[in-house]
Amino acid sequence: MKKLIYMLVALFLLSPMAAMAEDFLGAPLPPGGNVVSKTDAKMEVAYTMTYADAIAFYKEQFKGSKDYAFRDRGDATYIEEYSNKPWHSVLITKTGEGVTITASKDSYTWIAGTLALRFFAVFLVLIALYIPLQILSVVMGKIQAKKAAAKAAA
Amino acid sequence: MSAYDVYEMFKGTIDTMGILSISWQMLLMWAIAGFFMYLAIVKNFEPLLLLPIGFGIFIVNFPMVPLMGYTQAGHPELIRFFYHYGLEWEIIPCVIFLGLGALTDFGPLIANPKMLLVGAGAQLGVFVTFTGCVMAGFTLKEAASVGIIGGADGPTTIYLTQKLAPQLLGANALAAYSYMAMVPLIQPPIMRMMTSDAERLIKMRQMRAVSQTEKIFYPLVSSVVICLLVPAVAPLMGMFMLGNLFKESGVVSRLTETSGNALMNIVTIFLGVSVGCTMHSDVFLNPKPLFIFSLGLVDFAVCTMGGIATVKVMNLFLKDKINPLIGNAGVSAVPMSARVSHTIGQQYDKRNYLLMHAMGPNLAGVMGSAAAAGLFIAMFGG
Repeated sequence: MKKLIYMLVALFLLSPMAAMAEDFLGAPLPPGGNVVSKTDAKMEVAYTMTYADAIAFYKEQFKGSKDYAFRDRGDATYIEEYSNKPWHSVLITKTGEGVTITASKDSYTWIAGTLALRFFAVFLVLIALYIPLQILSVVMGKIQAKKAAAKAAA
Repeated sequence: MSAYDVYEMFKGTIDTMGILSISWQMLLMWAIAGFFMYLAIVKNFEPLLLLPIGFGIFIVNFPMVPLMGYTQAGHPELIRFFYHYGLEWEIIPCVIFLGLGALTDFGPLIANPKMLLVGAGAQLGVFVTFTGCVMAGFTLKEAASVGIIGGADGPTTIYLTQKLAPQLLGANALAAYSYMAMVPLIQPPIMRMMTSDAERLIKMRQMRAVSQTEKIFYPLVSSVVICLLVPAVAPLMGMFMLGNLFKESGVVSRLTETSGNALMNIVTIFLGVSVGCTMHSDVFLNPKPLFIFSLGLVDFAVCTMGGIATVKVMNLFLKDKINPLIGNAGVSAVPMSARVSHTIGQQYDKRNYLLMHAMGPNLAGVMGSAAAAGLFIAMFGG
């Protein structure tokens, strides 16, 4: 009876940790990890599961939803969330012992930063078009000048 | 035959009629449809699109009409067929761009390619509106599709919205085409506010003549740049450049004529009706479309400011100043916003002819909004 009570108490004491390990602003995290660090902006959890199992977990979590994008970064997978949830991304990184999963909070800093970058990129695309047009304009101008000179000489 | 059989017959007949299933929401949608048809017919606001869209809204908001569903055999009904193959497959926006390319003369842009920067600057509102939408609770994809309204480019708006947020297609298209038609109302106060008397009187040097060879090379050069840097919009811009090449080559007049007239008219009909028919009362009567309409106005205004501000920044570095009144033309409502530049310029100096100068940023705005759309598509891995 005592053992049962001790087990129940232990489970009760341990369950918040398990809940913390699985919840960061609603971001799905596999159970059974060890919290490495936690701040307001992100939480890092270490797991002994394989990288493939971690990817499979998230593919199952987000099955059928169009508001997520998986980006392969070689030794890591970056999952971005686009449906305006409190959390923005989950990064699965391979480690020696298993994987580390980092959930990050959504932030206007990221949104503003990525938009500023893309606004700047619009300029770059059009500058990339401007350069050949300018070269074409100079070349055609010279050709037309030569033709005009040849006509005048004739 | 008993009285009960007769009653059942009548009841069965009446049950196939929609008259008993009309709701107040449908009546409200009829009023909204009527408003857009009024704008098209009486006010001549973008009638080529607002009329079929308005009628599409009207006809789909009747009970039991077999238009946007599927038959019992599983086949798409009439408008669902147009919508699926034209819009879901993104054929129609690309074919419209083929026609637009066949009607466009890029000479003013080729003659003064630095106007490309004005076209880029006029996309400011796209990104500002994106931020506003996110703060208002839209998803990121929805915010991108609403933001692109400010690019004032109907096919690009439809292309991006269908890719990222098809549930907003009707509202976005309606907002885009409505505000495009209202450019002569929206832009002039902003232009006057952002320019000084001296700036409005700037006379720009006459543009150089552009050879036919340059006009033939332009679509090829543009295609290379767009396909390499923003491949996501290659279908859209590729068709645009194909149409332009038809026109400028001068050797396929039949294809040019068909692209710019018959083909474009056909797909415009299908586009307008399909878009209108997405706006059933169940979908349209919620706060989001109304919010999109108000954001669309802000979007256009900020894009106008972005274009004018870009010209003012460029003038800090240029010896031959650009009249900032043509900055508004970076909002690519072709050729309406260029005409607005000319009209406002004429109010201050009757001898200042800004129309052809304004066509440069007007055309650059088309490239700019396509680039912005492509970057949004790339952002979401689409």
